[in-house]
Amino acid sequence: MAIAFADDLDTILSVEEFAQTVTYGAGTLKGIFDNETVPMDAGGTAMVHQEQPRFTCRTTDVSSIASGQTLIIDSITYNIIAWLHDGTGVTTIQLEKQ
Amino acid sequence: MAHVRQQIRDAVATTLTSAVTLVSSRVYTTRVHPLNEANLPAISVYTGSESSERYNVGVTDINRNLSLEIDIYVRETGSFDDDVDAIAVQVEEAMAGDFTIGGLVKSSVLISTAIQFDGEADQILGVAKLTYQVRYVTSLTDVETAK
Repeated sequence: MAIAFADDLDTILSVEEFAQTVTYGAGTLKGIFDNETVPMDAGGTAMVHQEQPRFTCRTTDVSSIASGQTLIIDSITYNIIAWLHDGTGVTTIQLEKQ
Repeated sequence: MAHVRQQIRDAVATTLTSAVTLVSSRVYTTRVHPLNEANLPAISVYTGSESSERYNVGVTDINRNLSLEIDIYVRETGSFDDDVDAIAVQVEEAMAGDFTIGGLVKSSVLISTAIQFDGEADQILGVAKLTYQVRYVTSLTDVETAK
């Protein structure tokens, strides 16, 4: 039996559920914003706690994604640094706070 | 009095607090708890491994070689590598300006610099680890007084 993944994705990425609408370039984009604080290690004796902003959305909605593009989320501008396509239609975007 | 090693660590932290203006007095000694955005940029001073040997047969002094590490932490977007080096300039010049660390040591020489970056978070984290080889002398029976 096929799994109705597209339907699940519609639910997950609904602004009535977990997603929100953000500004993407001159348009908008629906997805889920996470900003977890994580311990980072860059070789110092002490770790550094930093936020790790990520935006998860449909791959088809960001077909022209490129470094240097911006997302504005809750009035904060983020540069798009990198992105991961999971191969099933979902993309996770790595963001840098400006 | 405290062990001379502690006196060295504290003296270096005091020097860097006044000389390294780019970290706005955020100089710690042996910082092991995590730093966060409000703590950066920052410096932490550590005294690591130490080798020692008797000065001469019949002499009750110990010649000590201490590894003194100065970690520089920077959180930045565009000019992170330049910012790390700018702080390193102030650290190295402050250390060179007090070669004997207030008379506690015979010499303090920068022997290595290791710089790493991590770009997984909201801003790039840069850490430079400056390692100084510090030579100081105490007697066998009094390790709280530098000779």
